[in-house]
Amino acid sequence: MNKTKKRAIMGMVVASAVVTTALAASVAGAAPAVKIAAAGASVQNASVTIDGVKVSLPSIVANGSTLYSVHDAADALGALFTVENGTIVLINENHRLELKAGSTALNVNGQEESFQVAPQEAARQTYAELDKLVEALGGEVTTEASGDKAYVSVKPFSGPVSNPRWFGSNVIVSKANDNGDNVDYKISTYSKTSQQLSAEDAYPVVVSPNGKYGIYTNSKNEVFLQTVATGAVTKISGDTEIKSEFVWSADNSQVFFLLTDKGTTIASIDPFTGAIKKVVDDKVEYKSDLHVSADGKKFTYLVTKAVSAKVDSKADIDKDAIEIDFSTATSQVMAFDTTQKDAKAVALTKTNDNKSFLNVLPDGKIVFVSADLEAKDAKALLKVIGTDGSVTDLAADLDVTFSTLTVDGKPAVVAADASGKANLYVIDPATSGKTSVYAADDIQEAAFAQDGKVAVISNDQLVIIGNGKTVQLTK
Amino acid sequence: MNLFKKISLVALASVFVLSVGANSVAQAKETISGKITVNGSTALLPLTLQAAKEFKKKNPKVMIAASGAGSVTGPQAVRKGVANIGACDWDASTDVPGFKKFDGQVATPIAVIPFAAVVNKNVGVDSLTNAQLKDIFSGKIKNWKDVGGKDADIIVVTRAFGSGTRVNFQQKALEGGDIGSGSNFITAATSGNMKTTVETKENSIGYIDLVYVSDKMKALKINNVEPTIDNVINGKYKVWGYGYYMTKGEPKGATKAFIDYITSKTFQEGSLKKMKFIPVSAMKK
Repeated sequence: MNKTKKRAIMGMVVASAVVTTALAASVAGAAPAVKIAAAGASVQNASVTIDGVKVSLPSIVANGSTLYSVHDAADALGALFTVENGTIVLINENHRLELKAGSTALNVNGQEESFQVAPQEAARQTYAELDKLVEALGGEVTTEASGDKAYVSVKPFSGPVSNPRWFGSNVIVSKANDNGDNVDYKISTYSKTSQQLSAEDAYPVVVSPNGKYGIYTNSKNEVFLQTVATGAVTKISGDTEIKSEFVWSADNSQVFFLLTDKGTTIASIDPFTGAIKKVVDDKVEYKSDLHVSADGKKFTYLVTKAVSAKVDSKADIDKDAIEIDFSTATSQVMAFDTTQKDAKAVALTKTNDNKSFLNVLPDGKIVFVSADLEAKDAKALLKVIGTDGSVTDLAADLDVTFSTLTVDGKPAVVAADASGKANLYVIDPATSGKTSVYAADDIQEAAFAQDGKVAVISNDQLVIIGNGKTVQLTK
Repeated sequence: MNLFKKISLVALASVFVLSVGANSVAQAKETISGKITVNGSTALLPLTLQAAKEFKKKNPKVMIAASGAGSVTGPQAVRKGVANIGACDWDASTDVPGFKKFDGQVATPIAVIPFAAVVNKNVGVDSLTNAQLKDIFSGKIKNWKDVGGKDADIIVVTRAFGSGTRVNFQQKALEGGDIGSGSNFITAATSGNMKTTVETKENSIGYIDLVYVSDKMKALKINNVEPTIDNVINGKYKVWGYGYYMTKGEPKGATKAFIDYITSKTFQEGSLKKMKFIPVSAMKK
């Protein structure tokens, strides 16, 4: 099977029975002692299903077990087959296998494992146990209810994942480890192989627009720069002030973030020197959802106002002499233009609705999700702030649970359709028209790639939509 | 949108149609909605609003309104019925020195808060014993030379009655000792005021949540043990307490969902650690 073709086919497979029944010369005694006993072995083509496709592999039967051509199995599994000084070497993205005919020894990434039946030679080829080859190359063998085996060339990444981010053809997701720490993994959409990207004590990697670098902090708030392709990490700042919400500049030269536990300051860090600079230090607390214009001069964000309580400190504790007006605890969309003389933050909204999922469109319009909690059964609506300051609804029939932007800057939202099924819709900001790109029982998050693919987190699993296919990459 | 992307969207829309056809039963997850009000500890306020920010992205129909007026006002606001959650630096469902328990309230620990004795950078002392701290904060020792420092009057900065930081510092650093008053005592209304006062007032000593310790002040060792997160977890440093969310009875509905989030591993091992608190689970090992 063509390697590229094989890798393009995802999903679980159903194995078919091996059709050959031809019996090779039987192998007597313990397997390790056998040496090329297959002079009279009958080589038959066996039909095996790998990654959902039936392939025909040359096979023999030895010592009661069916052994498969290592060369052809490697090809079907997407591994490179070479011979080094009489040792067969199989290599894929994360594994190197070494084996020899006549020996049960199997070296996997330097660790000794073993076959149950030693590989054998027949008709100028070496034959070995397919189950062991698949597992040693990082694949998976399962048994269907029918008793048939199912082979997957790469064992799917397992466990609940979140926060999908595209990095070329890979998707970076976060997954909690056994200690509860969220760790970033890079999952290839082609080979389905995964690689741990960040250290255990790291917070989500934010990838630069050019895809070359990731920036993150550890729990001490020290800052690290990672070359995403190689995984090389450099600590660029030992400053331990609390930092959050990294946002790369469009030219990859700066990374903006919020400083202090109350997000009072917008600061920037040079990703190559670690130099930190305060950019907006207006002391306004509880900024969030930071967005930076392409020129790095204008900032858009939400500000959540904490309420002031009135307390009579001289009154007896039992009197509960405290008054709080929580209606003033609003969040507002703010803009700060550092190119203006004596610049100040400007409030773009004044309403008491609950605001979340702030995004800025390419034309400067701002979208956010608004929920009017005073209204009965009110929807969470996608709203747009026009360049004239007007605030209007977009796709007002949708009750939004998540919002992001497509790569060309259109709003995309998750909302339930009439049947109650969650849909990922792309919204045309000019017409309010909506196009559904995916539907599932549950959709939590989505991220759009440059090539039109979409990574979706559905029921805590990563699903890739694109090229007319829907493929689940984790389980 | 360019042609390629238009085509891609059409193709994706086709996938959607097929997908709907293939799945007959669909149920959206139940949405949580409503307004949750939180009042109390100023030290816990940034933590509450960080959790609120994250929770809102999972539940856009939930608004979390918060205020900080000191720990004791947390359970007071719950008792009065003006807040769903009272943030308090001690377990207000039990009696503590100076405060009776709040009947009918349930305390859920949400964070471990280390506290530090801090001094102005001009103070030459690096470590004090519990006994020395008791004598300084009671007013018995008034000059730094009596604890190994230079000849200078000690300015004692303390928090007002009702502050959770004060309750914890009194219980654990002063071992239940009193905090005095007088001309060399200053009362800081909030943790922020305490920070600014100790940073700027020469010869001052105060106490503050470890998260607020800055490079413009000096955190003292207590009994020669440095106030670090590691020393809290390994049991060497004793001046710490739990931060609690107090509720009227067991939490329900959106309030329960929010408390579930702030106590979840995702938040405890994520933002809570970054904000220099310690996960509750770290103290159970």
